[in-house]
Amino acid sequence: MSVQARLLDLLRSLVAELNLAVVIVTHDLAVARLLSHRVMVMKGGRVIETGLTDQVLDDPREPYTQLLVSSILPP
Amino acid sequence: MTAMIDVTDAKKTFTMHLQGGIELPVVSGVTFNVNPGECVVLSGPSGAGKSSILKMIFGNYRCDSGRIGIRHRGVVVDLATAEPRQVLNIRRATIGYVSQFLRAVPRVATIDVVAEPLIAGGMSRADAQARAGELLHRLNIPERLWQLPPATFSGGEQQRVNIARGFISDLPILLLDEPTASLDAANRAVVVELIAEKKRGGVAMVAIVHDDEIRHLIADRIVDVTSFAAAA
Repeated sequence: MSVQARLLDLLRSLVAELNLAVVIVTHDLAVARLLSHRVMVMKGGRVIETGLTDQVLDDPREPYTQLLVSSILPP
Repeated sequence: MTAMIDVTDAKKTFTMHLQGGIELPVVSGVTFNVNPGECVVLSGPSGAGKSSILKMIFGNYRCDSGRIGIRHRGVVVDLATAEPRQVLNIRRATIGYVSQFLRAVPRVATIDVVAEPLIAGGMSRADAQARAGELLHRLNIPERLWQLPPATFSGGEQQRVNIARGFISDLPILLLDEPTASLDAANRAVVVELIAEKKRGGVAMVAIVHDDEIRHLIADRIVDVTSFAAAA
């Protein structure tokens, strides 16, 4: 976990300071919320929902996205 | 006068696919506007949809129908249909949102949590930190805490850090969800003062406050949300 934290800190500072464009693939929705501005939710090789990260995570529309969001255990 | 926020007939329903697709109506027919320098307080019982309306104005909740007109850099944009990148631009330059709870990036020092919106807006780190320090000082966060991440702070301290972060930018619209909920009298007075300063600066505000005394002190107009109750 501490290595993950350092990697996330590094990635965040690289994006901010070097003005990078980044695509990140993750199952970890907390990581998605922390790092990304926009989210694309994929299922079976298709993009099923896209939008602002906070919008997709706080107001998910598709059944599969609702399932993903409701599967997170609060820390 | 041209309104900064112009909400017309906005509607929100949640469809719960995991509960057999039941529809949960939240609000409908939401219509009101907010002028520069004006603070509109949303009133109504818990669960009436006050926070949902704030989230719709911030673009955090999507609308089913209706219009959320936002004056952004002199042009009215409909946030309900805006592209994600445009919503991000509007949040960077026009709309600030102070939620009830601090959701800070872990491991970041308090002073940087507060200064971050100014740095993102192009201010030098030193100037931004100086402004952040002034605000933290006004909100009675002792200087010895500034270099620590706020994760271990008390609820009231975290809320004050959140308020400092929300009030530091010169954005023309501010949305305030219970900004004084867990504060003592002295700090509530500071927040009332900060809101008054924003009004003098021409900022349009929408607030949710349950404390009658605070509401009386900050509200220029009260909008009763129960009239927007969605038919179940």
